[in-house]
Amino acid sequence: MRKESKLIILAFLAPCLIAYIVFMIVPVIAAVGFSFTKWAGMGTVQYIGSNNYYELVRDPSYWVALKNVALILFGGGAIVMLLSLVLTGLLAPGVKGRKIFRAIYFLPVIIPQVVLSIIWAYVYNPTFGLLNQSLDFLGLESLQMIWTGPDLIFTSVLASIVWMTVGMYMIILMSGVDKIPSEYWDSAKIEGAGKAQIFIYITLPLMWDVFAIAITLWGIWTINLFEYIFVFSANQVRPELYTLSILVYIRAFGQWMQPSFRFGYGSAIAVTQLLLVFAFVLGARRILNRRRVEY
Amino acid sequence: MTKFSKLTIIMVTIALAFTMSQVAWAQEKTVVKLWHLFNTGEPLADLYANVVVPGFEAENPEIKIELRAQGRDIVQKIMAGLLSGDFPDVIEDMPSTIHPTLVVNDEALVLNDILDELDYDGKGPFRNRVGDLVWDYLDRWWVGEDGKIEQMVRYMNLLGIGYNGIIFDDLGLTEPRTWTEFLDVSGKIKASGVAPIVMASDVWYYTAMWYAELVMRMNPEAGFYDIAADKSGEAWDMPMYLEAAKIVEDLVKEGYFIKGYEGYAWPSDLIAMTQGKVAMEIGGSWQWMETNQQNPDPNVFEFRFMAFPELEGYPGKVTQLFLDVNSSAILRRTPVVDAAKRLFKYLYTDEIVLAFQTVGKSLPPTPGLPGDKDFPSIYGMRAASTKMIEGYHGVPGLFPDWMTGVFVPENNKLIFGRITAEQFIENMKKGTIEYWKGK
Repeated sequence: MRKESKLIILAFLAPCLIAYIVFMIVPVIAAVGFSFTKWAGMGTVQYIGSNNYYELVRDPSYWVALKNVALILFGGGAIVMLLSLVLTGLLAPGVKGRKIFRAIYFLPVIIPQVVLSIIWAYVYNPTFGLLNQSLDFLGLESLQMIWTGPDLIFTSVLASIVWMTVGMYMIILMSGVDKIPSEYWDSAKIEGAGKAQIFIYITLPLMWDVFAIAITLWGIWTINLFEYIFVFSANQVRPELYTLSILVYIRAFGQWMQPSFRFGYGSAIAVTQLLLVFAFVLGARRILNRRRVEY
Repeated sequence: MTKFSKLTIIMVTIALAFTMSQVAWAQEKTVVKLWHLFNTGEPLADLYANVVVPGFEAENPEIKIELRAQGRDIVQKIMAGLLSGDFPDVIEDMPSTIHPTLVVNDEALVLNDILDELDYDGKGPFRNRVGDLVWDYLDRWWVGEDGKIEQMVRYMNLLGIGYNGIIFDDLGLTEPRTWTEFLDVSGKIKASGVAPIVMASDVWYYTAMWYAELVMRMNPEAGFYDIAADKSGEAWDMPMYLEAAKIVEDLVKEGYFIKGYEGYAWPSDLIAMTQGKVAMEIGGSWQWMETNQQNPDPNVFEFRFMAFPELEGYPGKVTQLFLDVNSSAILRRTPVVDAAKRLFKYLYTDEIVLAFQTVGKSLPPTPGLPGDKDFPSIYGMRAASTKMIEGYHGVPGLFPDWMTGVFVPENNKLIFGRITAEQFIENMKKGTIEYWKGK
C-alpha cells in the first residue's frame, strides 16, 4: 500500500479513534486508578492501596450482586437461548405467517427498556397489578403471589427480562438460519430426515457461529445490566435485585435516602465487572469455538 | 440580490438583534440558581415555581432565579454539577443527605455570620426566624463540634403513625398513647375485618421505622445512635434491643400487617389507605399531602396523624417529637454570595413559611405562627412538645453505609418474617463489628 493511501486511511480513522480513546479507554484506565483511592468525587484523592478490594470481598452486597448476575447470565441465558432456538426452529423458512410472528416476538425489543420496566412494575403489583387481577378474574386466586416481595421479586424481574430479550436473540439466530443454503435441507428431506433431526444435525451446526455471537452478546449485556432494574425499582433498588452495575451506581453516587459518594469503591466494583466481561468473552470464545462442533 | 435573499437577511438580522438584546438584558440581572428536591408536578415544586420565584423576583428586580426541580437524587446532581461547573447557589434537601455530602466535603457555606444579620424584612436578627426548640435540635444533630452551622431547618415533618380517621371513628377508637393501647387498637381493627397496618416495603425509610422508633422511645437520647456507633458491637447485648426486635416480630406473627405487605411498592400503600383497606401506616406528616393526591373519598378516608406510642417502663414520651426535617443551604462556591443570602433569607419570611405550611402541612421552624386549619392535630402536638428528636437519631446521615448496608438488610428480614428476633440481634452484632473493622 502506498504511503499516501495509508495517510488517507489514518486521517479518516483518526476522529473515531481519538473519540474511542478519549471516551472509552481513558475512563477505563482512570477507573482502575481510582479503584486504589478514597475519593468522594471532589476534594482530595487519597491513595489507599488495595483497601477497596479488601472491603469488596467482605461486602455481602457485592456477593449478592455477583450471584444475581450469575443467575441472570446462566439461568436466564439458558432460558433465553432455548426459547430463541425453539422459536427459530418453529419459524423456519417457508412457515406461513413467519414475518408476522417474527414482528410480534420482536416487538418488546423495540420498546425502550425504561418503558417496559415501568409497565412490568405495575403488572407485578400485588394489589392492583394486571397479573393478580387477571388471576382473580379467571378464578385462580390461589395462584396470586406477592410478585414484588423479597422472595419472588428476583424471579419476577428475571421472567420479564426473558420476555423482553427473547425476540432479539431469535432474530439474531434467524439471521444465522437464513444464510444456510436450502439445498442442505432439501437433501436431508430426501434422505428421510425429520424436522427435529434436520434442526439438530444440520441447522444448529451450520448456525453455530451466530449462536456463539448471540451468547457472547447476552453475556456482555447481562453483566452490564442496569437501567431495567434501576427503573423497575422506582424508589430504591432492593438488595434482592442488586447487579454489579447497580452496586457501582449505589456505592459511587448513592440513591434516594442512601447518600454515598465513594468513587474509589465504586471504581473497584467496576474493575471487577470489567474483568468478568473479559473472562466471559474469552471463555465463551474458547468453549464455543466452531472447530469443536463442525464435522 | 433576489427578493428572497433580502428578506432572509432582514429576518436573520432581527432574530440576532432580539437574541442579543435578551442576552444583554439577562446579563444585567444577577442570576441565582435555586435547586430543590421535589419533582415537577409535586405541590411543593409548584409552590417554588408559582409563589417563591415570582414573589422574590418582584421584590428584587435586579435578581433572576433559575429554578430547577431536581427530584430526590438532587444531591447526586449537585455533586455532578460541582464537577462540571453547573451547580446551584441555594438548595433545599434533607440534612441526612446534605451533611455527609456537602458539609463533610466542605462544600456548604458557613452560615454563622448570616445569623447575626437582619432578616429579610429587616425586623430583627435572622437567627430569630428559628425557634429555640429547633436550635436545640440543630445543635444536637447537625451543628459540628466547631460550632459551624452549614444548613438551617426550613420546615419539619413529624414522624409517627398516619391513620384513617373514618375507621377510627366508626370503631369508636382513640389515639393510643402506649404500646399496650396500640396493640389493643390494632386488635380491634383486625377483628373488624380491616388490616391494621401497611407500609411501602420497597422504601427502607419506612421498613426500618418500626424498630428504630421503638428503640428511640426506649432510649430517646441515643438509643439508635448507640447501636450504630458502638464499634465493639456490645451495645447489641443490651436487653432493650432484643425486646424491640421481639415487638416487631410479634407484629408480624400476629398478622397486623396487611396481606402481601412485603410486596407493596410505594404508592400502593397510600392507595390501600385511601381506599379504606388498611387503617394505619408508619411514616410522616407529609403523608397528608401524599394521600390527598390520591383523591380519596372523604366518606372513606380522612388522614390523621399521631405520635409513635410510648413503651411502658421506658423514658420516651409521646410529647417527644420525632422529626424529619428539610433544610436549606448555600453552596460555598457560589459566585453570587450576596444575592444567594438574600434569597436564603426570603425563604424564611412569614409569607413563604406559611405557604409551605399550607401546601405541605409541615411545621415551620418559626415560633408564633398560626397553625394550619386543615391539620390541627400536628400543631397541637408541636404546642405540647417537650423535645424534638431527629428521626433515626441522625444515623442515616452520620453512618449511611452502616444504615443501608448493615441495618436495613437485616431489618427487612425481621420485618418480613424471615428471621427471628434473636437471629436479628446476632446478625446485627456481627455485621456492626465487621462494618467497623473496615473503617
